Amino acid sequence: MRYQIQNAFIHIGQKSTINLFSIIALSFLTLLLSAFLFNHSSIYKELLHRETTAPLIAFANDIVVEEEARLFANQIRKTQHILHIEYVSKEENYTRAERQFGHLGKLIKNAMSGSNPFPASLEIYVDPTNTSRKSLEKIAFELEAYDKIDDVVLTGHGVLTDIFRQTNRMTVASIAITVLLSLLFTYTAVLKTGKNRHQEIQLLNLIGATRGYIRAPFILHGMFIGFSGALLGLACFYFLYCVFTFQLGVLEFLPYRQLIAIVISGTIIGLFAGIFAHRNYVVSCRKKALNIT
Amino acid sequence: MIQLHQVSYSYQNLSVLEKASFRLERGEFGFLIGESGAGKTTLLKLLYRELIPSSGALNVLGQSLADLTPSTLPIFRRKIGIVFQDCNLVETKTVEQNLAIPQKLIGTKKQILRDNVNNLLHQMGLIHHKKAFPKDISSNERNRLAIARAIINSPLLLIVDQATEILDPKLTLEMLSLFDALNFQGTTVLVATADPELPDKFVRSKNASTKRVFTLKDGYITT
Repeated sequence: MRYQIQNAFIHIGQKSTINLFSIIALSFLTLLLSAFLFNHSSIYKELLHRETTAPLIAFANDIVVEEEARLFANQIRKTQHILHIEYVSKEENYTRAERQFGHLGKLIKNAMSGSNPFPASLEIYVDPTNTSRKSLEKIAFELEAYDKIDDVVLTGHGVLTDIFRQTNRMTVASIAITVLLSLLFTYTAVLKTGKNRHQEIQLLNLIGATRGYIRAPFILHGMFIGFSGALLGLACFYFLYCVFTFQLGVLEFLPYRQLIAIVISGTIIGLFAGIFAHRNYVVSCRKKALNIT
Repeated sequence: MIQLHQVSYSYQNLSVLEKASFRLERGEFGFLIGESGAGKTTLLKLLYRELIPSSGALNVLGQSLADLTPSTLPIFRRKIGIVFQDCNLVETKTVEQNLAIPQKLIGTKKQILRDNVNNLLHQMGLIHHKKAFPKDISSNERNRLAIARAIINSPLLLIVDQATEILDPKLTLEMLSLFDALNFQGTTVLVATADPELPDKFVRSKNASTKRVFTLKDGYITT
């Protein structure tokens, strides 16, 4: 095996330009894929974080008393695609604002000469299948038609869900494209290097090399390109993440299991590219009537 | 050891061998003589199964070549040392690395491999070219390297395809002496040549024992 590993590296060196190009191409693809995964995982985390907040908040008129508001909540729950409505009183909203803004909350109250300026509100939780921006806007529009409601605000849930769905599709597409292009680049590099070694392979075949012995450098070569391309791509991505951390804010880097999965996937893609390249090489030799196993 | 029975081979409707038959026993030394284009290389390629005969039976080293499978073929070929007509050296490897290929193939340990390579390079007068590439050495030396590579694994059968043709007369006889010594140790040797005088010249000059001579002409073999 040591000889085959040595051999694989010697041959990579002999066709260094195409191998280098293929490693760089794979790194670039890994970099793009990492960016998509990063985006996807950040939006997913944000969505999870917002799971406990209501996607819609309807602010009631000041004249609406608690009993009335609760009655109204029960009434609209029956007519809309609404899962649950939580009534938040004026006092509760004031307490929340105080908690959120600290002394600013008191300043607001003082400015309003002791009265509470915060309205009572209804926190509306909708069916999770119905959280697209369009459907939330539709519900908000319908709620605004009621005279008991002053204003309805969307908390960004809908926009985020829409972006997440788009990102999901783009991530899946980018994974598929990355796999295909990586296979193609690695396959080409391994095949070209194999053809460059044709004389040696032919000799090895004639003096008694087994199929495995001839195939091993192809596979090792592919795995090396896949592994180093993935690793280099992730390293570049980490570098860019560090450079732009101040712009990204608190966004976390890709989780370890995802990083390991990318490197392992790169190596496996290289392995398959090596197998395909060897198979194609053997077929082309057979076409030339050379008895290479 | 080598047995051909009614072997025919044709390539693109051109008959190269016509019901050729001959037998070379274990431990014998044979010359296969034929003019250029007579089909010597084709016959030798049939012996190590680079080519498959159109008809007839071939038996080499006690193995019927028709029974060889992709998994048993490499094991069979490892028992044969081949000196190719065009040397077939790997141009991207040094002299030393070229010579080490067959040893690495059978998994020889590093130290033993190094000793074997150095000994043979000494014996063939190539030790000073150890680190050189095949393109940097003369045709004579390339041939000697090809011969060294064929014998490094002490094969049971040595097939030499006109490798002595380009060597000078003195070196040709020296190489034949080397083959004779190997033959003396039990290796069966078959040397293909276009020079019909070579067997006699060799036997006379080296006072060697009589060798078997096969002549290939118009696709037929005569003993």
